[in-house]
Amino acid sequence: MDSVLRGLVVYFFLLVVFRISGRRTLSQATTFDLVLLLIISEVTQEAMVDSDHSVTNAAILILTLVMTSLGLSELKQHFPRFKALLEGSSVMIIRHGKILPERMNELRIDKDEILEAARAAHGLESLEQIKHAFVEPNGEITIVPASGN
Amino acid sequence: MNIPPEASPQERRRTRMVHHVGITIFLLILLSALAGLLGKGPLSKVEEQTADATLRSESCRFIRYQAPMDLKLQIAAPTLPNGMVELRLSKNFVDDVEIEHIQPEPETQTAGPKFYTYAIRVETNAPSEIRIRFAASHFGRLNYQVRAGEGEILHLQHFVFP
Repeated sequence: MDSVLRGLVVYFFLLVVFRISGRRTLSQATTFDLVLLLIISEVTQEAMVDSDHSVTNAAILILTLVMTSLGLSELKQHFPRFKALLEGSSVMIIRHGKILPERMNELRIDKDEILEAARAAHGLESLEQIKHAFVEPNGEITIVPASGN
Repeated sequence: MNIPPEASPQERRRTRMVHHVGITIFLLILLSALAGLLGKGPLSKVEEQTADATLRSESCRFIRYQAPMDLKLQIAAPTLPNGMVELRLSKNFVDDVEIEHIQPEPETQTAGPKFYTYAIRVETNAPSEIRIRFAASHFGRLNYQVRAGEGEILHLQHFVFP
């Protein structure tokens, strides 16, 4: 019983923490973020497994996490508001070629990150070549190039 | 253009059925785990006592391999002079598990042909609680006996999941 409860508590705790900390925490922006995620995964494993290293406990924890994820996916599909609550929505940061600075500050994004995404996806060289840019719920930056690019 | 072959309606039906059956099985496993059928939980908790009620135990029916487990024993009265209790654990139990600690700590331990005997100092004239923390070293059934001094034998059993 405690294995299922421990798995659920840790899963939802991580969900809330990452939801509140912001979408950029999820995307692998820097080495520091990667190290942070690795440390969190180690701490999480200790919290969930505790001193029970049996195969049965591992199987129960895996099933708890997978079924919780499946359950949330089903809820997201049937209730769009729940999806927005859980994951957030896409946020526009460049509209018709104009940067929206207050949104960039809110999401802790700078121009260099937008340019990096533009180069990677479309080979664009400057912000003037971007029509729209969005920050997606998973933290990634997606670019809509301006016409002719 | 090479288009991969589409799954036939029968294949898609079979896939959906496997998916539904699998999800149902997973949910049943999780409900069993919550109920305590795969470890600690409400359905796993068991209390036993000897016919004369001098020795009572509280433990779990289902435990897991090498996971710590608490066996709580309540002894009605000291079995030795000077407020000492003689706790006897069957040899197969001590050999088949790793005892992490016994609380209160025994003052002496002796090995006999069928039992290991522990002398433990307890409060006089009051039921005493002894807690044994152990981890099973084998899968399957674990049957053993516990005895307080020369009193009746309490037969206990667990099922150890891998």
